[in-house]
Amino acid sequence: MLIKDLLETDFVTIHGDATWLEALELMLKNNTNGLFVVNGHDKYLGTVTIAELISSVIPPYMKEDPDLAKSSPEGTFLKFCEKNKNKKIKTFMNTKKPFYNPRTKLISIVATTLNNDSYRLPVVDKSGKLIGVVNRRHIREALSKHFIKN
Amino acid sequence: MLSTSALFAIIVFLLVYGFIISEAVHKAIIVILGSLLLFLLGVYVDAGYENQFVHAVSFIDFNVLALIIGMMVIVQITSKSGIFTQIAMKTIVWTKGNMKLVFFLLMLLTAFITAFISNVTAVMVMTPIFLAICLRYELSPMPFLMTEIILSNVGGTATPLGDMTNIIIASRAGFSFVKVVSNLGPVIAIITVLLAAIATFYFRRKLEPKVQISLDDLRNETFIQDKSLLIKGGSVLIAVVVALIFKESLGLENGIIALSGAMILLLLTKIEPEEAFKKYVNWSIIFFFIGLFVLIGALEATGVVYYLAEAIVSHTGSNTDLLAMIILFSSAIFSAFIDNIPFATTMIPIIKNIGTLTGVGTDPLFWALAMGACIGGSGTIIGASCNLVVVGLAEHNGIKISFLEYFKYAFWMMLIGVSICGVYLYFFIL
Repeated sequence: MLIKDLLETDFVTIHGDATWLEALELMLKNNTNGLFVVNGHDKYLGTVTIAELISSVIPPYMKEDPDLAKSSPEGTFLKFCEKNKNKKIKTFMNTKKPFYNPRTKLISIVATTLNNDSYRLPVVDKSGKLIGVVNRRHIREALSKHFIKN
Repeated sequence: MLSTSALFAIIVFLLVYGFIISEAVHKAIIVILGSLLLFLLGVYVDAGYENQFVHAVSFIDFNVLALIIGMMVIVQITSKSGIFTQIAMKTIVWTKGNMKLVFFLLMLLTAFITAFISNVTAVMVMTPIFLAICLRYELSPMPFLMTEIILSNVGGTATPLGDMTNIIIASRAGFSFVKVVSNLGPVIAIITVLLAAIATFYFRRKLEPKVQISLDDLRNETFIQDKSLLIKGGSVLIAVVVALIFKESLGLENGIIALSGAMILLLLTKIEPEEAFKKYVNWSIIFFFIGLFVLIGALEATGVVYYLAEAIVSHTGSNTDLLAMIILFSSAIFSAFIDNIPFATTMIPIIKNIGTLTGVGTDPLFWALAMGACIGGSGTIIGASCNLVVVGLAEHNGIKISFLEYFKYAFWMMLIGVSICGVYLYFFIL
């Protein structure tokens, strides 16, 4: 089975030049925790999740030693968010998430999904344009079809 | 007249030094490639040795390498306990949030811990703590970070554990822990207090907190992450320092004491050796030292060091006062602009040869080198490894410490420190 037989085309994208706040608003509006980042030609650039939005406002030293956060006064997190609300998505988006072409075999994506803890994997065409996403639900459905059929 | 091998050794040394200064290639890579060049040119060919490699290896100080590896493991494991965050945060409580006093005391703490856990580790531990304090009180981190660099260089001079440069000098000169502390400790304590006081006064306006915060949260909070690790690591660290103090009676060398301490700590904490050696040992600095020892060994083996010592003595005679002052101030200036480790490592055999040529005691010259090279390293942002660690950590957290901004503040602070060393050398050592 190939990915093109599984992929879903219902996904939410955001432009790389959009801001932190715009990404948050889009997530709230679409009731999703993850967005796919594209450029003006719909070319896939990366992903941004709510975890990455949160992580992007926390100073690195605090992430390395979370105990130091205990000394911060109340309201620090919201202050950090306020300070970073105009930060461009492309400066902190996740570009390390694997992406696939429609002809990728099911075994490849299964191996990656299990190893990377990635839930929504982007599928791009030859020109790099985002054409769909695959997640564990799709794999479960594929398994279901296969076993029910047999 | 210098031999062809000596000329080759000089050329390779200068070439490698040029690369170290330019920072174009990692210094560990360039010193090892420089050593390879020495072998290809046959610089280490000597009838007294089986082959070139055996001759070159005789210049590698394995005692220093073992000491560095052992201390890296002990200190890195212990520093994860959160004890320094606990002390810093409780200092805020004890001083009732008086930031000037907090700043002064924490700078003293930085210098003190540096003396035992080395300045690179000390700044890695203290920099995030300073950033957290500055965030809490909406203070500029610059006074904290810039003064931290200066005092970690100063504090590292007090013991043969505090600074890589001092580790090398003390080991090669054969100085015990007690000898270094008794000769350098008092003056370093005075310089530390004085520079911390000057820094507090200089930055007094920038140390006014913009917000008033209740101290209840800090009073009730504990920052110690792992009490068991603290007890085990702290005990081993103290035991190693005590063993270093009594090493003559124990008949042990520094390297074996530190390495054994590290192994005992691994046994106690059940940390896998593979993990400890991979995570806690900075192998690039170990390979840098190996290459550096081979490069400088070539200068010794081919008579270049003797020639240089002869040239110096022909100008100064056996005037130890003059020699010590020249070494102190030239080391400080050189170390401010170039990495102080290779500089000091090159100077050690030169000083030993000066001693042989003139018959004068070399101890004051080594003290001058230690103080000049270690404190001098604080003069610019590129003078010592710990300076670059702070700059890197600051940059990672969005804070830029520019060369000029640091230089304008730190260079004269360094000159004050080195001048006090000069006075101390003249009146108490020479």
